[in-house]
Amino acid sequence: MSHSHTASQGGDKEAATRSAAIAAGLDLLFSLAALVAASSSVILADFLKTLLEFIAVLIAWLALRRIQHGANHEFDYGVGKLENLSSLVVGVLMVGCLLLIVVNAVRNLLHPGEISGIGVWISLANQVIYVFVNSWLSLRSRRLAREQNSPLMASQAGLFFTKALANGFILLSLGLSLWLIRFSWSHYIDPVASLIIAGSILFAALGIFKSSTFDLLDRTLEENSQLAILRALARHFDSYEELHEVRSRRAGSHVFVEIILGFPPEQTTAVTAAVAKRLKAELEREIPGSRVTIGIA
Amino acid sequence: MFDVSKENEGTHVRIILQGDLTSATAPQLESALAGYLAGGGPPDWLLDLGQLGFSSSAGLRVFLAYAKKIKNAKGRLVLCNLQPNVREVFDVSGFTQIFTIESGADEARRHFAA
Repeated sequence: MSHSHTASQGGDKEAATRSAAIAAGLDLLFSLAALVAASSSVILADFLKTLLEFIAVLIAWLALRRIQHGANHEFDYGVGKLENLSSLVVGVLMVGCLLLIVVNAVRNLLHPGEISGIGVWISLANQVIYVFVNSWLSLRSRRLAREQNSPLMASQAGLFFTKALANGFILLSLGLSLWLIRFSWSHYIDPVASLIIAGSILFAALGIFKSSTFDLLDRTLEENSQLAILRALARHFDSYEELHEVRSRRAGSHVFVEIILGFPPEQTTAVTAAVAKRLKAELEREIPGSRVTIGIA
Repeated sequence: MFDVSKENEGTHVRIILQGDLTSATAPQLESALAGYLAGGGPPDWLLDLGQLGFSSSAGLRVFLAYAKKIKNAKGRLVLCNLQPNVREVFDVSGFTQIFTIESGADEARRHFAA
C-alpha cells in the first residue's frame, strides 16, 4: 500500500470523525437546552449520555488528527494500536454513561413523577433530527470501517447506531409519557425507557471492549487466514523445496505473516525471487491488511 | 488428548494418529515425526488418520512440512482413513490436490507394493 493511499484513507476517516464531533457537539447543546427547561429523567439521562458521547467522539477525532499528521513518519507501525486504544476509551466512557443512567433511572422509579416543561418539546424535536443524523453517521462509519479495515471506524459505527436507537427510544418514551399523562402508571415510562437505553449502551460497550482488547494484544491469526496461508503454500507446493516456518500475528488492524522456505540450491536467484513475489502478492490480496515476508533459508 | 504411534510394516512405516491435532498438540506430532525421520527405517510413510478427530491449521502445517521432508528423502507419503471433518479441512486448504489419499489402509499399502 502506498503512503499517498494510506494518507488519503486517513483523511477520509478524519473527515468522518470531524463531522461526527460537530454533530455530537450540536446534539449536546440541544440536550442541555432541553435539560434546563424540563423535568424528565430520560432528558437528564439523554444529556449525560450525549455529553459522554461527545467526549468519546472528540477523543476519536483528536487521535485521528494525531495519526494523520504522523501518518508517514512515527506512526507507520503504531496506527492500529492507537486506533484500538481510542476504541477502548470510547468503551470505558460508555460504561460510565451507563452507570449514570442506571442510577438516575432507579432514583426515578423509587420517586416517580410526570414529565413537564418546554424542554420536553425541545427534546422531542432534537430526537427527531438526530435519529436521521446518527443513522447517516453510523452508515458512513460502517462503510469506512469495511473499506479500510479500521477498528476505530467500526466502534464509531456502533456508537452512532446506538445513538440513533437511543434517539428513537427517547422520542417514543417522551411521546407516550405526554400522551398517557392522565394515568399515574405512565410516570414509570420515563425511568423504564432510560433503563432500556442503558441496556443498548451496555451491549455496544461490551462489543467495543471485546474487539479492542483482543486486537490490542499481538495475537496469532484466526483460522480462516491460517488456512489461506496453507492454501497458497499448497498451490505453490512444487515451487519450493522445504517449508521451514510460518509465523503470523495480528497487531491492531495489521496482519504480519512471515514464511521461511527452502529452495533447491541449483535454482537461480531470479526464479526463487519470482516465486516469493507471487506468493507474497497472492497472500496480501487474500488476507486484508496483511504484510507478508517470504524468507529464504 | 493426542497420541502418535509407529508400526514398521516392512516396505513402509505406518504412523497412527489418535485424538485431536490442535496448536497445542501439533508440536507433539512434529517432534514424533522428526524422531521417526532421524531414526532411519523405510523411506515410505503411511499416515493412518482413522482415529484423528480434528485437525487445525497447526496440524495441517506439520503435514505439509513433512510431505516436503519425505519427498526430499526420496520417500512416499500416503494418507488414509480420513474422517469427514478432517477430509473437509484438507479440501478447504487444497491439500487433497497435493497429498495421495486413500480410503483405507489396504488401498494405501498397494502404493508401496507397486
